[in-house]
Parts: sequence; structure tokens; C-alpha cells
Amino acid sequence: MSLLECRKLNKNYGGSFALNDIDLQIEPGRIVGLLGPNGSGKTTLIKLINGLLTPTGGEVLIDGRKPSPETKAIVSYLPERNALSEWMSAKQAMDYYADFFEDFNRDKAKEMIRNLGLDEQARIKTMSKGTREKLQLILVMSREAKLYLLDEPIGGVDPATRDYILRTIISNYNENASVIISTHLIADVEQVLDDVIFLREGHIELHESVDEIRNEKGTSVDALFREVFRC
Amino acid sequence: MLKKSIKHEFRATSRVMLPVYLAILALSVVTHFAQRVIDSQNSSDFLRTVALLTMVIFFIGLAAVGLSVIALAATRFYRSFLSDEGYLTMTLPVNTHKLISSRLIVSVVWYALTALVCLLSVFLMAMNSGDWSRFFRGFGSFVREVWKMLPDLETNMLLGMILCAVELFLCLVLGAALASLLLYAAMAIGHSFNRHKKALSVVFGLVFYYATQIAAVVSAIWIIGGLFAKYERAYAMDYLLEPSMTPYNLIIGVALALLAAACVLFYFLTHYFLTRKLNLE
Repeated sequence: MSLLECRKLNKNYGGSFALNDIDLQIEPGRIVGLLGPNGSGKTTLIKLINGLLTPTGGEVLIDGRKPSPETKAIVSYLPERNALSEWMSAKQAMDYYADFFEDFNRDKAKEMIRNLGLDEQARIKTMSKGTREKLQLILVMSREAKLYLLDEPIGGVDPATRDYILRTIISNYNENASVIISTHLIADVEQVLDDVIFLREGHIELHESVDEIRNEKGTSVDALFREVFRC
Repeated sequence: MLKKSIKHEFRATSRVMLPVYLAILALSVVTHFAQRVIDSQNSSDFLRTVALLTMVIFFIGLAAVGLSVIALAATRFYRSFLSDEGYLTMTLPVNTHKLISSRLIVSVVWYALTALVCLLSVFLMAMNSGDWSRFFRGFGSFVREVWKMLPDLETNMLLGMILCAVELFLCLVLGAALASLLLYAAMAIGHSFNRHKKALSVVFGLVFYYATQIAAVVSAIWIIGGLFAKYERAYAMDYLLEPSMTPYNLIIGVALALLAAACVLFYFLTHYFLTRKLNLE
């Protein structure tokens, strides 16, 4: 059974389609890049998988089930924005995750907090934008989830941290888990991707493995993206 | 999960409300001494002016505490569900009923605590040490008198009084819940639009508030007026004084049913718009 399946998935905003008849299957153990220009429907797709939006038509299944508290327990989601309460300290944010997510591994979170030089006692409102993003990513990647949905996980961090995050993503996932990464920084993430999905105006333009792109098309994902979405 | 949601909601709100309570209680003690300054023959005009100002600040403070608890209910709902924090709240493995209920329960508890703290601060401000002992003596003798009266009351009357007290208590609880639910529904609907989300939330809040007031007045006239009209024909006074307290229970019961209906309506509007029309930025 696919870990994620979209069948004829549609999302309509006031007459215009954000997603149009998306059919998609993602198997466990894959790291997938969800790529496309602004407004192509990446965030809408991620929100539908999370249950933050309701489809206009079709359905999305996670591990065979429609989005629900049960699927949210196995999906670890990194939103594009800071979703943590600013009054919390990093430690209180860990308490919050530990209380609500049974798969949260506090030891792993503490180790990552140490490695990235964050202060557990510091309040989130006193942290810089980049530090907040690191903390949020640490919390998300410290869950032993089945599906990770990362919306722009490396957008606001420095290149050294970017490398650490990508190493974390690779070392974290297992054969039962998949990771979907939505990003514009294709060249940075390309090295960790197994598959890519190109979205254009709510349609899937391309869904292939990175090896196929390299071997059959003889190009990098970054170069292919520039070619397909040339303005 | 409801318990955990309530725990975290208390953690988020107590950091605001506890300092507010401490401030108003401290201000009530200061105002108590200010009142003594005003009463004293030896106080200078300057001290009296300062004392008067302190009293004015105390009463403004009391109003502010009342408003702060309502503002807190609104901001907590907005932040949890409709701001960026909504991305985390709405992806927790908790169903939306439990998420809304936890905010609602905690807000009602804060309304009750705020009422108690305001009452206590007025007592602290107004009462001297002798007044406290007189108050407790008076309260003690009132309870003893009521206790003595109980065996003499008819069973119907006693049950009627208990039912009346329970209904009044539930009216207070549902009234407090309605205050929060009205705000929740207005914000959930206002934020389902793409533009002018906050302005539309205010508009929906005002519409719901006035609609609720009009519905309450119309229902009161229609239902309770109807009841009185019916019993006038059947010797209203005899009926009103009948030992079971049935008419009072009936009137409060109708009010309770209307409050419950309004709560259910706003709750389901909130739930529907959060689950079906959520429109996070």
C-alpha cells in the first residue's frame, strides 16, 4: 500500500483551480522533492495532505486513511511559518510536542538542539528568524513519523546549517518513512532526493526518480527545472 | 487528549491572568488605605487628591480585569487557530471538537475566577478588620438559619429551590460559554474570507451580539409573557406562591434552553468553519 495516495484531487478557490485532478502515489522509504514556481499548488497540496484544507473533489489518503487525527499522528509537518507560540521556551516547546505526539523523541531533539547551539531555556520570541526555523525543524525531525512534510525547510538558514539539516533528513528517515520537501533551493536539496514532482498551475508536470532524470535525460534536477519552467 | 489540551491552554493563559489578578488585589489593598486617608480628618488636600485618584484607578482597574478576560478568550482563539500557530494546532492528532472545547472550558474557568477575584478585591478595598469578622459571623448565622428552616420546608418546595439553584448555576455557566462561543464563531467566519479578515470578524461579532440580544428579548416576550398570560387566567399569584416553585423553574428553564440553543449554534458554526473553511495565510 502507498504511504500517500491522491486520487483525482481537486482544490478550487473561488472559481479557479489551485489543484486540478492530481493523481499521485508515494511509496515508503522515498525522499521526494515537490518543486514548482510560486502559485503552482505546492502549499495547497501539503495543506490538503495535512487536513488543513478540505478537497473540492477527489481524495487524499495517508497510509490508506483520509486526513484525521489518526493520520496527523503519523505525519510530521514543518510549515513555512513559525507555528510555535512565541512565549514558549525551547524546552516548553519540547514538552508540547512530547505531550501531543507519541512518536516524539526528546533525546534526539535535545541532541540536535545541542549540536545546533540553541539554548533550551531561551524564549522563542527572543530568537532570530533563523534560530526559530532551526528549532521548528528540530522538533519536526525529532518525531519518528511515517511521513514528513517539509515546506521550505532550508529557506531561512545559513549554508552550514543547511548541510546539517539535509544530513539530518537523510539519517532520520527509514524504509517505512517518506519525506516530501517543498523548496525553491533545488540545487541544495538535489543531492538527497530520490524522486521529484514538478507542479505547474495545479497539474503534475513530471513525476520521476532523480536517477532516471540523470541517466535518461542526462541533466540535473536543477537544470531540468530551469528548462521546464523557463519564463 | 482533551486533558492535555486543557493543561496547555491553562499554561498559556495563566501567565497572563495570574499577574492581572495579583495586580488588582494589590491595588485593592492600596485603595483600602487610600479610603482611610479620605476618611481621616488630618489628611492634607494633596493626600486626599492622590487617594481619590487611587480609588478611580481601582474602579477602572476592575473594569479592565473584566475586559481582559474576554480579550484573552478572543486572542487565545485567534492565535491558536487562525494565526500562524494554527498550522501546529490544526495538525495535532486531536479532533477539532476537543481543541475547541479545551479553549472554551478554560475561558469559562477564567470568567468564574475573575468574578471571584473582583469580588474579593472589592471586599479587600471596602472592609476593615472588624467588618471581616462581622461578615463571617453574619454569613455563618445566615447558613445556620437556612439549615434550621430546611426541615420545615415542604419537599416540593425544597426540590424546587434546589432545581432553581442548579438552573441558575447552569445559566451562569452557559452565559459565560456563550460569550466565548459568540467570539469564536465570529472570528472563525471572519477569517474564512480572503481579505479584511479582522474587520469582518468584528462585523460578524456585532451582528451575532445584536442578533442574540434581539432573540433573547423576543423569546422572553413571546415565551415567558405567554406563560404569565396563561397563569394570570389561572390565578397567577396562587400559582406563583405554590410550594413547588414550578413557575420560577419553568421560566429559568426556558432561559436555560435558549442559552443552550445559542451555544450549540455558535459551537457548530465555529467547528464547521474551522474544519471546512479554514483559510490560514
